[in-house]
Order: sequence, then C-alpha cells, then structure tokens
Amino acid sequence: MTTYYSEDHEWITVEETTATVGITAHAAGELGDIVFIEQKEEGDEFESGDEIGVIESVKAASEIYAPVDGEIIEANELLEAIQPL
Amino acid sequence: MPFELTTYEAYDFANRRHIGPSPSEMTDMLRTIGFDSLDALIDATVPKSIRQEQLLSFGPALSERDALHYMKKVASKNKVLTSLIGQGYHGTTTPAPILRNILENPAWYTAYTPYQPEISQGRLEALLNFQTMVSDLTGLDIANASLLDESTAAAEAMTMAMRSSKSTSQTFFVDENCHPQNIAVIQTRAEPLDIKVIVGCPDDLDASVVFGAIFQYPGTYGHVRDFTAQIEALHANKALGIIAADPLALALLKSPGEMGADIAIGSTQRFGVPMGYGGPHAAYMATRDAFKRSMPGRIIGVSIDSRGNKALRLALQTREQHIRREKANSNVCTAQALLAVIASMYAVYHGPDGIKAIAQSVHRKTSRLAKGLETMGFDVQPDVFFDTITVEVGNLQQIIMKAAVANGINLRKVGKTCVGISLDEQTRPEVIEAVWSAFGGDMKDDSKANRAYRLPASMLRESEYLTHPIFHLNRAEAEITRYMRRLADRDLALDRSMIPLGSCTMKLNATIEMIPVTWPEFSELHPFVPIDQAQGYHEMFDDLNNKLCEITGYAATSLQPNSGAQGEYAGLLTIRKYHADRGEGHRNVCLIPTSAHGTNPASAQMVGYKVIVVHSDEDGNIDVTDFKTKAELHSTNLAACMITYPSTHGVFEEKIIEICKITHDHGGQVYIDGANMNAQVGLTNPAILAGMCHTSIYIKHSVFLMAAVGPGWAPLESKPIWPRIYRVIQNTVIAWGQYQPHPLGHPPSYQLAGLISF
Repeated sequence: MTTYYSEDHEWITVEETTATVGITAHAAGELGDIVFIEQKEEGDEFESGDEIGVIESVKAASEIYAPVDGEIIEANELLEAIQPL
Repeated sequence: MPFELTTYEAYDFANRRHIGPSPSEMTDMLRTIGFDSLDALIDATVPKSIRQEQLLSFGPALSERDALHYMKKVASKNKVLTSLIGQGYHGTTTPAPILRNILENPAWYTAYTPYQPEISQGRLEALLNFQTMVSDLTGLDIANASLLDESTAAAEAMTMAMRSSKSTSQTFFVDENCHPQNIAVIQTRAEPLDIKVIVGCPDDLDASVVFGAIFQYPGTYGHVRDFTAQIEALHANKALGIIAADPLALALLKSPGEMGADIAIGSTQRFGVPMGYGGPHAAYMATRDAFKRSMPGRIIGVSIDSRGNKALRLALQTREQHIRREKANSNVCTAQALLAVIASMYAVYHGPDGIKAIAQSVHRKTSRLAKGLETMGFDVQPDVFFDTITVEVGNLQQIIMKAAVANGINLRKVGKTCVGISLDEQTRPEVIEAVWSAFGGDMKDDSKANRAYRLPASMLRESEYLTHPIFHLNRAEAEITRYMRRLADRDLALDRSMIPLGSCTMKLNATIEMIPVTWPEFSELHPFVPIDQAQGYHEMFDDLNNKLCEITGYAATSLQPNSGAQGEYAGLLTIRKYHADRGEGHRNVCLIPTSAHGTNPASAQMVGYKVIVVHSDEDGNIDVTDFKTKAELHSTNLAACMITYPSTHGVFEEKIIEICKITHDHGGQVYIDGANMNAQVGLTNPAILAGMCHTSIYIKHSVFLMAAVGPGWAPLESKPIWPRIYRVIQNTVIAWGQYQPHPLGHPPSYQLAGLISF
C-alpha cells in the first residue's frame, strides 16, 4: 500500500485497483472548522483533475480534485452526518 | 449701522456641504501630504495619458430648492391613474408608520450590508422576519433575505434547479402562463448556458425530458390551478418543480410546499411597497432544506455570541460570489433589503389575520367585478381565480381600454380581443363601478352583497402561517413604532457614523433627493402603463442618459438592471452578442484580475465564459506581463477582460491604456467596472480607456435631478460601434432603472433608478 500526494493537498492510498482519497491534515487545518462535505455518488466516473467534491468550512469552500482517473465505488457515509469536525 | 450683504445663500447647495471635508479641512489634509491644491493632487494621481481635456458641460448645480421645484415640474408630466394591469404589480398601501419609520428614515436607508453583524442586529432581525414570513407562506423550509426581482429570481431558480437536480437533461420547462417578463428573462439567462427552454401548457409537460419546470401561481391571466401532479411527475424523473407564487394569494391558497414544490419564488411588492414604475421590490426565494447550499443570495442565520446569547448573522456565505467567485451559485451580490424590511413590517403590522382579511377582500372584490361583467353578458375567464380575470371582448378591446382610461383606469391589453383586470387592496367600489362603466354597464357596487368565493375547496389553504409571536405582538401603531425604533437602535448606519467599507454601496443620499421618491407621481405608476402617462420619467431617463454619455464619453446608454452585478451580466452578454454577430462566437475567455470584485468572475461564468485569473504585482496592481502572456495564450478565444478603474484598491493604475490595448489587439473587448466611477468623473472617462462600461451611480451626482441611487441601477454604455445593443439587451428585468422590452410590443418603458439596497 502506497500513499501519494497531489499538488492540491489531496492524498491517495492505493491498494491493487482500489484507492482511498482524502485531504491532508495541513489542508484541513488551513480550512478551519469544516461544516459540510459534498461528494459524488457511487458509480460516478471521473478523470484525473475533475472535481469530485467540495469541502466547505466556515470561511471557504474548496474543490476536491481527483488525483487519478477512476470510478467511485463507495462514498464515505460518515461525512454525511457531519458536525463541525 | 450700515447694511452689509452676506454672501451666504441659505439654501444654495454650494454653500451647504452635503458630505465630506470642509474647505479648511481639505487645505489641512492637502498640506499634510504635501500639495498646494486639490488640482495638484489630482495631477499627481491620475495619469496624464488618460486625462480628458473637455470639461463636462452640465453647468452649475441647482440649489436644493430649485432642484425640488424642477422635480415637481417633471413629476407633473407623469399621470397617476388607477392601474389594474396586474402582471406581477399591484396597488398596495404602505402602512403610515412603516412609511415614516422605515422608508423615510435614514436609520434604515443609510445602512450597509450586514457583514458586521455586531452593528446590524436590527435589520438582521427584520430580514429574519422576512425569511420567516416567506417560509411560512410558501410552506418551504428555508428562505433567503431577498433577491433583486421576480424575473431574475425565476432565472436563478432555473440555474439552482440545474445544479441540484440529478437529471442529466439540459432542458427546462416554463409554464406559458408565467408573467411575460419572467419568461423573457429565463430565456435570456438560459441561452449562454446552453439550456433549452420549452414554453408550454403545464398539461403538456413531459417530465422525462427536463431537469426542472416553473409554474406561475396564480397564472398571469388569473388561473388558479394545482400543480401537485406535475411536480410528482417531475420528481419521478429526478427533476425539480418551481412555483412562482403571489404571496397574498398564498394567504388563501394551498402553498407551493404542499404541492411538493422544491423551490418557490415571487415578489413581495404587494406587501406594502409602492409600485414605483417597476421597482425596486424585494423578490423572495424559498426552498427545501436539502437544497439550501445551492440557494443564491444572502441568508440570515441564528447563532450565538461569545456570551452565549442569541445573535443573528449572515449564514452560508461561503457559497456567495465574494468568496467563491466564478464558482459561486450566482453573481448576485446586493439584495433588496430595505424593501424586504418594509414587506416584513407589513406582515408584522397586519399579522396573519390581517393578511388573510386583505386577501379575502381582494378576492371578493374580484368576484363581484366578475359577476357584474358576466351579468352584462361578457365571457369572464378563468372560472377559478384569486384577483385577476381576463374578459373576452371581441373587437371592443380598444374602445373599452380607452373608456377605462377616460375613467382614470388602466386595464391590461391581452391579445387582440381580451382585456385583463387585476384588483388589489386599494380597489374601492368606485373603481369597480368605473370598470363596469367602461364595459358599457351602469351598475353600483355593493360590497355587502355577494360574498361568494370562486375558489374550489380543494385549493383552499388549511395550514397556518405567520404563527411566530413577532407577527402577533406589534399590532397597535405605538407597538410597531417602538419595535421599529428598537431595531434601528441596534444598527450603525451612515446617520450615526462614517462606514469606510465598500466602494459601490455607500448610501450618501441627500434628503432632498429622497423626497420625490414617495410622491405619488413617482411611486404609484405601474411599470406597464401607456408611455404617455410616464413622460416625466422618460424625460428624466433621457436627461440622465445624455449626461452619462457625456461623462463616460460613450455614444449610447441603456439603463440596466437592479444592481452592479446585473449590469456586469448585461454588459458581458452584449460583448458576447457582439462577437457572435461578427462570426466570432467561439470567443469565450475572459481575463479577470485577482483584485476584481467577486461579482466579476461570477458574472462571467453566468455568461458561459471561461475565467482566466490574472495576477497582481506586489503593489496590488494588475501584473501586465502576466496579462500579456495570458492574452497571447488565449488570443483566438479572447472575448473580454474586466477591469475596475480606478482599481478596487483605489489606484489609478498607470498601465491601463496598455492593458486595454493588449486586449483589443487580441480581439477582445474591455469591460470597465464602474464601481469607482466617481473617481473618474470630469477627470477621465471609460471611452478614453476602453470599450464597454457599467456604471453604478450614486447620489453624489446631485446634478442628476432624480433620486438615482444605490446599486439598484447600473446603466450600460457603449461605443458607437454597437448601434443595436438595446435590442440585444433583452434582459427584461423589472425594477427601477430597467430596460424592459414591453411584452405587448410597445416601445420600451424605462423605469426610474432604484432605491437603496444593502
């Protein structure tokens, strides 16, 4: 399992053909209190560089970009029930 | 003792400062920064290369007394009839305490955007009341603190539906019974975004091919119908349903929420805000909780302060243009806060019982009117109406319309053989009788007779609204006056102190300019009256247009929509059309500096442009090297650049001519944002600099003889190479200062520049 980092503060951990994507602790810290995360749904396909979500904090709303081509096989449901993280 | 004349003229404007430093203070300030005179300072600040040589030819400013006298003469050229035209505008009574304590009160009309909630709790509460009122009446979870007008609100609802629906369609359905101006603006806004618009009968809606649909309730010709079935079909196809609803009708009728609507929009004009020849009025938007992040405009939210007490502030701002820029939900920046406050106070004043009583009275009056016409043998449509009927009159149309005007009444021309009539809270029995008389009848109206409803039981509203205590506690005049005063006391407005914030929204209106605003000759005109009844307005518009042309150095002006952001949108649309007309419609790149106001990129993306951001240098000026590189890179597709001059930092950037030249060399047009136009007037002008300009005029210009204020008015100017821009600008936004192609083919009617929004 290897973790890569993009230039837009995303990380991607790859295991065989499945990858997990998130944003770095640094980015999360810069954003401040997170209030909402918008994600794509299961089955949505995307290419590297496409917007696959928006993360909203009290002071900004930033896009999350796909580091690679792919298809969403599972959305993180824990993010739905978000309280200020 | 010899009699000595003084030079002080008691009411001469030149001797009484409106605002700003006194002559002695100016001398001190100049000396501190090392200049002998204001002229010397200007010479050092404004680049010589762009200074205009010719002085403006307006002559000396009128004294305040003379200005008012002149305004009376102009006002006398407007004729105030009783307009029963409807089509989204209705007579309404502004309760006297609200007129005096809000509309005519500087504590309310000089306030700024409530970005600093600590000094804005008063109007935040009034706007929260507005949101509560809208949310209640529409039966939807959450409402915003107003949009600019019903037509643009309808267009915003369309793009919101597109963002929020899971449908892959690019097609939007519009009920053919929507007000014509709503249909027109939707079409204008859809086109650059490649949205296909179908206008048709709700019965013919094919929900599987659209991402959303909008219905008018009641319809423009009066129909009251239930859209539950249509909305269910839309939901089954992952599409959204939008209802444009008359708020007074909602007091009696099933709410949009109860029909399953996802979004509701409309105008709150008839809640106590004068028609004003088209505006300004507060439009509303309400939606389900799930879509709240997609809703444009400001939302007031309830939070807590550092001591744990309830505090109000703007919420969900991270979606707005000032933060998201080209990714914002919309370019909408300013709202119609003063008008929203008035509408909310109307609801506080009347309470739910009062609003219901007004609605019932309006409906009964319309029922009596209809009955009378039916007795005379006319065919009155529809069977089910609230306040509007359409009468089939065959070839008597012109005769009846003329007879009505002779009786002091304007009716609505519908097609070639029908006449539309809309009643309102101000309609008296004499008016009903005068209408009958115009139709050839000779009856008396008996308000005690005929209390029948012509609304089916299935459409009657059962749910409650305005249940919050605030709509029940302030019903006596003394109570509401104290309530309005308590709220005002919590706010810091320009009547208390200077507010050094915001280039384009400073409310510096002299009282003398506000006084004509509430004269009936200006406030009681319906926007669609025959042009001969609005000659006073047209004289003002012509005068203003001429002066603006002189100030800007341009050849043509169009008085445009409700805000600077809308002026940007219209200007960019014009540029887009210009390129298309020349066979260069592929141009879609817009260069915008990082220093630009957030509305610039937001407006650009609404016109379908791709925004390329140009960096600033370390002084905050546009980095010309970066600008040149990007212009070259996108040369084939360069449509425009957007420049604010002087910049948003207040600097007269030296390289402006070079920047404009680079743009023109690569085939693009320059859009100059006139937010800081005040700093150009008389010294330089956009024509010297560039192509298209929007100007937000503020009341600094007392020489403009009308209360032309606020961002509620963004005139557009252009150079002589674009002679046909007026027809291009089909943005039929209705409000003061709008260009509005008359839906029935009459020449365009211009409305007066808008009131304050903050």
